Amino acid sequence: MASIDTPLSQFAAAEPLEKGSSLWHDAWLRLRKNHLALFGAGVMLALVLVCIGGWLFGQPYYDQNIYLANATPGSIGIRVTPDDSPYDFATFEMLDDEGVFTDAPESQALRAALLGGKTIRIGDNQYSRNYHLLGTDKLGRDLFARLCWGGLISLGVGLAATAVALIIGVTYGAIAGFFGGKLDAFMMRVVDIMYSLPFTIFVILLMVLFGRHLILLFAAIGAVEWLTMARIVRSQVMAIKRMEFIEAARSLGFGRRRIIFRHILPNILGPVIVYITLTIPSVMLLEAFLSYLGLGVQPPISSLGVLIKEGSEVMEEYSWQLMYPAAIFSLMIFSLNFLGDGLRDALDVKASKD
Amino acid sequence: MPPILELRDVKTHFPVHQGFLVRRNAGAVKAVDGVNLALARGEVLGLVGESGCGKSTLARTIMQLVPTTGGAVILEGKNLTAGGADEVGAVRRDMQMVFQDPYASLNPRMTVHDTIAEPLLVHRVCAPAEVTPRVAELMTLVGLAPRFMQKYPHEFSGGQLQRIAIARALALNPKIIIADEPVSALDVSIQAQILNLLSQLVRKMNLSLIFIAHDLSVVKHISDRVAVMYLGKIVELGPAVEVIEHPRHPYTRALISAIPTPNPDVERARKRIVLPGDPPSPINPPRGCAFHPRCPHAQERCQAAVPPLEKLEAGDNREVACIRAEEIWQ
Repeated sequence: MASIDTPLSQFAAAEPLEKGSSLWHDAWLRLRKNHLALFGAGVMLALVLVCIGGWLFGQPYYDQNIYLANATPGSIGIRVTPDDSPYDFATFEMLDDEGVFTDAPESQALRAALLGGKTIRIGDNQYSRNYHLLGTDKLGRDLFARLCWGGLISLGVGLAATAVALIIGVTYGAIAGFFGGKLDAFMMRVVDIMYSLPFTIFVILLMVLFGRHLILLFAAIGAVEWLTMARIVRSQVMAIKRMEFIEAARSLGFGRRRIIFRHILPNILGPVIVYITLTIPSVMLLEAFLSYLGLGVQPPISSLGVLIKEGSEVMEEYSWQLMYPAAIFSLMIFSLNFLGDGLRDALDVKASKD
Repeated sequence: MPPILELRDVKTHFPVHQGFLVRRNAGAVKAVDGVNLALARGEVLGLVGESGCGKSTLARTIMQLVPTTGGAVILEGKNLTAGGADEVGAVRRDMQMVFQDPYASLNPRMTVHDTIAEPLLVHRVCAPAEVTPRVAELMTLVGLAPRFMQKYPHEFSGGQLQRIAIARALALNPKIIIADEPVSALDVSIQAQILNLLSQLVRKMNLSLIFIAHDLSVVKHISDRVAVMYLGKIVELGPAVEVIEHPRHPYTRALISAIPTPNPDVERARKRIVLPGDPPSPINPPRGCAFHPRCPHAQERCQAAVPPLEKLEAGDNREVACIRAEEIWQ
């Protein structure tokens, strides 16, 4: 439709056009006044940036260091490259059985050099300081790196499964709502049946049949979340298609496709967007639940659910391993929910001026 | 001159289903039940009747927005009810509709420009480069400044929105405009403006107009002829002034007696004919004349047969569907 916008300039010369304010723009103005929602969006953005930064510039999330398992936050470990020879003979001599530097002068000198930030080369191996801001897990993997990676995975699962739910749900719901009648009745009974399936058993069956796979996790969660989306879209389409502007579009001789995509869908986008922002956190919760049961993402990949599960196993001894992922997870869920609530208030048709 | 639009025994029934598990047909709502009508080029036909009498359904039937149960809608010699969807789509461009509620009849997510330009682009009425000038022209035609074309519907008043809706209806150069109570959602002061605009446009562009209203005084102001509907049928048809000043059907009389007069002396003398009861259900219309249960002049024989819409004497320009019309009128 770009062609209808271009020749406006001819009129701008004669008489200045008054700029209109679209409903989207009005919604944005309302959202901007909602500090809680903006705060949620800001926190979310900050968390994502930190996660991406940690993933790009931090330590690898899979690097193990059995000598520095369950280290407290702020511990310093040694990073050895190449990966396949973590500790060579020379270093072993300088370390005691638990991987701690001995009292020997060489050992203490090495320790001092490493703490000073130096990179030391012995033979083929390179030794450098490894700072564990949030400590390490039971395999000595850096918790901060695993948190960053886990946060991204959780969010990615949330986004991907929501996208799956969005595509299936909107198409399905729009078809059922637009055509109505027997087709609608049949399609919605299918949804009712799917709703009644016990979700956990459904996922376990999927995992057993097709093996554990990240893609399958998206599919399983998306297969459940689209049901609600389909219901929401259907009811919205049914309400909109009875409005006079749809009748007007039909009497102007517009085709079905144009009516659905240009006239109905833009008018139901508000509730859909709200539902998306509220679905992402609920999908993340589902993922955490599945990971907690051991059905989610598989090691060495981490997700917030996996980290919480691992943390809960050792929470009596090393409570921070539970606290950090749980805190990040709660923060993400809260932020997304605040943002979703704010969007709902901003896009609410009842609140908009008529 | 042949009529531009002709309705022959048009029927629109909506089936009613009953039952929980097994659905069975429990009759039909006879919203439009055997309407015969002819509309001349450039003519303004007022269609009146109380709520639920099938005025709007008749409009949607003419537009082919609802499926027709029987009869024929003939536009310039082409039968719309017989043609396929493509044919209807092509012919329907000659008829356009203006709806009752201007707040609901415009897409809230589209600017005025896009709303008016869409039919031009979809039907390739003019080249893409000429679309915007044409939109400006149409806006000027309905009395809106083109500088508002980038605004959205919620930024306008009801009267302005109705002007936009009229501009959109005019975009395809229709020959007939069907206005379904276009002013009943507007303030009284705005109503007159929209009515004047419509009657100006009709004259300027030689349009035919079917003007639906439940207010006879509004219809009298604008129409050449008036058709009075009761329960899916036309009960009286004739020149507007004559029908309103000398109604022949008892139902028309009751309707006209309900119009308040601005002159208090006349208003005090006005005698209202109050109809007993509610309009009967269009699922089970009364036997014979549908109006007989409420008619002050009803007799036994009114239940015998449906009175046809006919002229009282040959050469008369008025038709009425009442077997006692002649007695009552004398």
